[in-house]
Amino acid sequence: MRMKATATLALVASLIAGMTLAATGSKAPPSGETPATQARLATKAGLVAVARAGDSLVAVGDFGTVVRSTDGGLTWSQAASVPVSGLLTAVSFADPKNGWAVGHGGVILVTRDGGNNWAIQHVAEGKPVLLGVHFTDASHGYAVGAYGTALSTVDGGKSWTPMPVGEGRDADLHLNHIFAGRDGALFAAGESGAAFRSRDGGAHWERLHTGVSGSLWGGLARRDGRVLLLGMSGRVLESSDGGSSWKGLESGTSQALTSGVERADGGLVLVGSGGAVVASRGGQLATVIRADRQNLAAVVEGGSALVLLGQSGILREPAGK
Amino acid sequence: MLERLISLLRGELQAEAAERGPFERRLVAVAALLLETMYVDRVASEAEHEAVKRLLMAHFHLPTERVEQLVALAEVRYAEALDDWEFAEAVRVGFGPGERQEILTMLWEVAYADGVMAKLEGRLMKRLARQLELGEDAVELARAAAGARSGLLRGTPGEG
Amino acid sequence: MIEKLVIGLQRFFFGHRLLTLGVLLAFTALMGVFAAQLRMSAGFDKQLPQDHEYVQTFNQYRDVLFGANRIIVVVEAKKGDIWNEKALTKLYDVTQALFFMPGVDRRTVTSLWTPNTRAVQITEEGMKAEDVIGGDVTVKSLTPDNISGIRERTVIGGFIGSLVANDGSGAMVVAELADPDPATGKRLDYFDFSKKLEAEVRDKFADADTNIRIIGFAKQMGDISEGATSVVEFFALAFLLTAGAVYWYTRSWVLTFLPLASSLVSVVWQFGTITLLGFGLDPLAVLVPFLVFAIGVSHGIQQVNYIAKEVINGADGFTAATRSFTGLLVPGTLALITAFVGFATLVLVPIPMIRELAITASVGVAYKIVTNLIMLPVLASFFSFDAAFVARAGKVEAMRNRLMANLGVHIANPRNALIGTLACLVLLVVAVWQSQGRHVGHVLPGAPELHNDSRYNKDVEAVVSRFGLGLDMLTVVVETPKDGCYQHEVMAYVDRLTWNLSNVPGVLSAQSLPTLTKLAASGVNEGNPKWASLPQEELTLGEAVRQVPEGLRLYNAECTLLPVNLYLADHKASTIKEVVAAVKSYREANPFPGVTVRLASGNAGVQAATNEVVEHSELPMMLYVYATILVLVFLVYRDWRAMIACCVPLTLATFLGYWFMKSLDIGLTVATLPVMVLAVGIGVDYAFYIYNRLQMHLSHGEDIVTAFKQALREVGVATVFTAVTLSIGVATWSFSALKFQADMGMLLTFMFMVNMIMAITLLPALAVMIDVLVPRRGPVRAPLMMH
Repeated sequence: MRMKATATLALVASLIAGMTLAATGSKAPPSGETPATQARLATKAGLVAVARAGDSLVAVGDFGTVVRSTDGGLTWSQAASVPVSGLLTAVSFADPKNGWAVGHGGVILVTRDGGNNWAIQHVAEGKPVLLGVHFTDASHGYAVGAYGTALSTVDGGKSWTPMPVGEGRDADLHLNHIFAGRDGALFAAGESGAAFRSRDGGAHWERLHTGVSGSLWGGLARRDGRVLLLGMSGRVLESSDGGSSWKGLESGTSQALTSGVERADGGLVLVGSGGAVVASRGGQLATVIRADRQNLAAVVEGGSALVLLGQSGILREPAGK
Repeated sequence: MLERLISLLRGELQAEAAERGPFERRLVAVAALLLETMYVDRVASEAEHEAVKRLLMAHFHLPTERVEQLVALAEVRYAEALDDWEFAEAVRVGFGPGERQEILTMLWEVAYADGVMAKLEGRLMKRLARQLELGEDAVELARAAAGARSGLLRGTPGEG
Repeated sequence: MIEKLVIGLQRFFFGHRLLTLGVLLAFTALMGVFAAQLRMSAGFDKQLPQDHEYVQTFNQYRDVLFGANRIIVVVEAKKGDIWNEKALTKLYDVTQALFFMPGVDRRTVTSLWTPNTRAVQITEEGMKAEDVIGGDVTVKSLTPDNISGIRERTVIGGFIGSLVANDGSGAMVVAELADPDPATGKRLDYFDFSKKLEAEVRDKFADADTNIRIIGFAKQMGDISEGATSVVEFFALAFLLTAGAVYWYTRSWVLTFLPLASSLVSVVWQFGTITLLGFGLDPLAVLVPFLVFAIGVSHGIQQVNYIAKEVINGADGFTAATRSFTGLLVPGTLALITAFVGFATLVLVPIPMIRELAITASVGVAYKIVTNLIMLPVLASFFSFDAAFVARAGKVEAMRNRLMANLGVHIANPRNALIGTLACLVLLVVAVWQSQGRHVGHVLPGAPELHNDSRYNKDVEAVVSRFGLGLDMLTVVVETPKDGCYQHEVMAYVDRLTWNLSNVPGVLSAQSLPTLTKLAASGVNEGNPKWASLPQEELTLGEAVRQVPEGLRLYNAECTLLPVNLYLADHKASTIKEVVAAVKSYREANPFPGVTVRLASGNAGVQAATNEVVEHSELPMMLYVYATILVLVFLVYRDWRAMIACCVPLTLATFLGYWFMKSLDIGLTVATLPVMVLAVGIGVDYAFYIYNRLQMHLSHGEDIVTAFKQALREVGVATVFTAVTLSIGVATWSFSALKFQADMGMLLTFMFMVNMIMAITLLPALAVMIDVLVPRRGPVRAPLMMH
């Protein structure tokens, strides 16, 4: 009899506890942890970054939108599960299956199936805005963000440790983009014209002399070893010596440039705000301003076409442009 | 029910009259037509009233009380009706041609009862004769017969 | 007992004929004075169901949010575009004209020239908001240079497609109206306003190179009102046609004059009463007096029919009139009561305009009891009918009787009756099936009340095709705790809601504070797209929010309101329904403590409310009317057979009407909802007239076939003719400039004729069938009205 009573009491108590938990659980969780929803117009969401995963393209952007294309950007489908609904700012794949994305709220997401299903692997301390991510292989990866945030992992993202990039007054500068050069050196582009290079896999970083004070937003490494940095006011900086010295290229625009890609035929395409598309023609850079003045954030080649990403989603420009 | 439906489809069923009331419809109809003839000249004199009752008693062999009831009912029916068609129909359906001729004569007798002949009455007779499916000369025949009888009753020669 | 009452009334009125007429005449004169003051009154709020959740939201926030009462004027270059001095100058002039027009809320006037039109740009220095046309540029100082600057800023500001056409061929001036006027409290006279727009904007500024397009609720109502004034011509036409028809029927000027005069008198009384009650005549309801007039004439026909028959049988005018009075007082009152009930049930619909309509129509019908059932016979008693008339009428009468008798035999033949009934049952099934999927609300863009090629609808087409913005906006009102816009969680919630709703098919675009705040946040960070997200910290978020122009009305001063404006592809009921359902399912699946998601403001929002109410009201209305008819039929005849015989034909006619509506694409709206309900209330009249005589003859002991033949002879032609007069009254509307009037005219004509045909075919068929299959066991009771 008393046993029964105790059991009943325990049952009731756990029920109440459970309900309380459920009740508190039903309170809206902080943003970044509300999963993304399947959206009919996923390809029209504001998309800001794209990466290759084998033969596929994976693009990320606002509302936790992740879209994939296996046909060179002609058709896209939304990822089945993304655990956040904030803005994802950068994506990088080590191989066709393993990829990472970072975004606002300090979130680092990982996928093991080529970008269809994602999970939160890590939330950076202090929830800083993460702006860039790069994985050199499935184990070694780097993430950078606002106010000098920089993290690195050697175990495929299971654990992350802070990585010192800028020193002294440079330590608080926003780091906007991180990428690797042909020779394996790491480059980080930041605000106020700051750029950093690491030749030892992120253990030590040095500030580069870019000679400019406008923010640098992006960069890429060309197949022939040349490195480019892009940024505000139409800035294009080129280095032929691995980043030690830089010269400015005439881009033909004063719009901020966000991202660029080297095409299969060696041509260069850079995109930026206000519909700016900079392309190389016979060694020179020339700018065309799109009639729709869309702010473009990323560009990638899809087959022989160009896939542009911007505030209104995906734009595909067929070959010839 | 199903059988009824089928026989209905075959056209075998006919509507049945709900014969209610103390008098046959055709009797009431005759009484009503007599009343109509009485009223047609706008003057309903005592003589005409008596004539109606007398004719009904004589023709249908009814006692006085019954005749009174019949006339009362006929009055009500007549007032409710918008025209005399239903009564003429009932007479046409309910009596043979010989009886119908006789009824027409009775109507003329009512018309003569007050001693005044109006054009309206003539018109009424012609119309009724048509409805009762009596021939062209039926009206004249009936009038002559009625005139003779009225003359006989009153002792004055009626109009020829 | 009723009998005694009827006879008592007859003695009273006919005993004091001059007194009666005198009183009625005096009343008519009095009412005439008021009737002369009758005005058209359109109203925006009148058409909204005031108790509906969405309308309450709309009313609560109408000062804060974008209203639904907008006026849009487009300056359209016939050739080329507007990027030249002439067109831009015109745009300025139109902006000024609208600004100074009384009734316009000046704070809301928006065009390229107004200071609230700013191009927001994200540059290195942050968010830069520039006037599209700065204060330094005036009409006189327009040069190709600064025009291209204006054009540039227009593109940057994202106004292509909203304030400027997609192809640059036109520019828009938008304004909201203040109704009622905040200063005087007076309601806006839409007719007046519309005329002013024509005179001071269109006529003044349109020329060989420029079109001026004007759309918006006020203009729509103004055009409808104008179309409705031509109703007087229709009335005259209908009156003449009716007079001609009645004369043909009666062959007597006296008998033509009587029904027309009495109906006119009751119309005068009706208009007088409307004015006294403080109503005006709503342009959408202007047909109702017609209808009531037509009902009056049809009842008048029954009266003169009775009188004529009496006269033919030898009665004088006085006698005929008294007999007609007593014979028709009760059945006539009954028929009018059913029409009255039909109208009165409309009071249950919670839309003020329909309530007004219900009251004015009910009053009109009630008055007919006096004018048609009392005044007419009393007046008739003064006239006498000569022998010539009697002969004339008698001949016609005989001919009609023969026709009806023959018809009656065929119809009432039991075998034919069965076949006919079965055929009608099949027809009923087909009609029910075919009438599924009738649409609610408006399907076509523009104003459905007007024809497709009307000025207004052509303007709508021009604007919709060249501009990207939807003219149909639904605003979801999100109520938040105080300073909600500075709280990341709240803003993120609204952001997700906005994104969710943008994805609903039918939503062209969605705008809310978070949407623009994200842009501002990016702007604060040199315009970097990777920063286009809601800041986590309150201070940073606040900074971003403050960059968003307040004129966009995406938040209020206390930050307790965060509206989400949805621009829809069209205002079809199906589109709106889908959006509303999406909002409801989202808010149910994603509750947020302290935040309430409310529907709905914007013109599509209130349209949603109206659609819902109209759709849900139709069935209850019809059921009420049917129930009343069933009860009345039972009270009068005390016979279940009568209930079937009277109501089944009505049902068939109603579904045929629905089928007709679907075929003609007539949607169920505020204007058309009353029509079907009225049609039922009126359609049953025929059944009463016929069944009355039928029952009476049955109570005399006749068989059903003969009884029906009689009934048909007595009232058949009058019944057919009643339908004809009613149809004449409404058929003339088919030529109206207002599409909805034309639609209603056709629908009502159809309903009247179908109901009549049902009454003389299906009703007797059913009666015969039932009698033959289920023979009576007891005597037939005479109907309640017979003495």
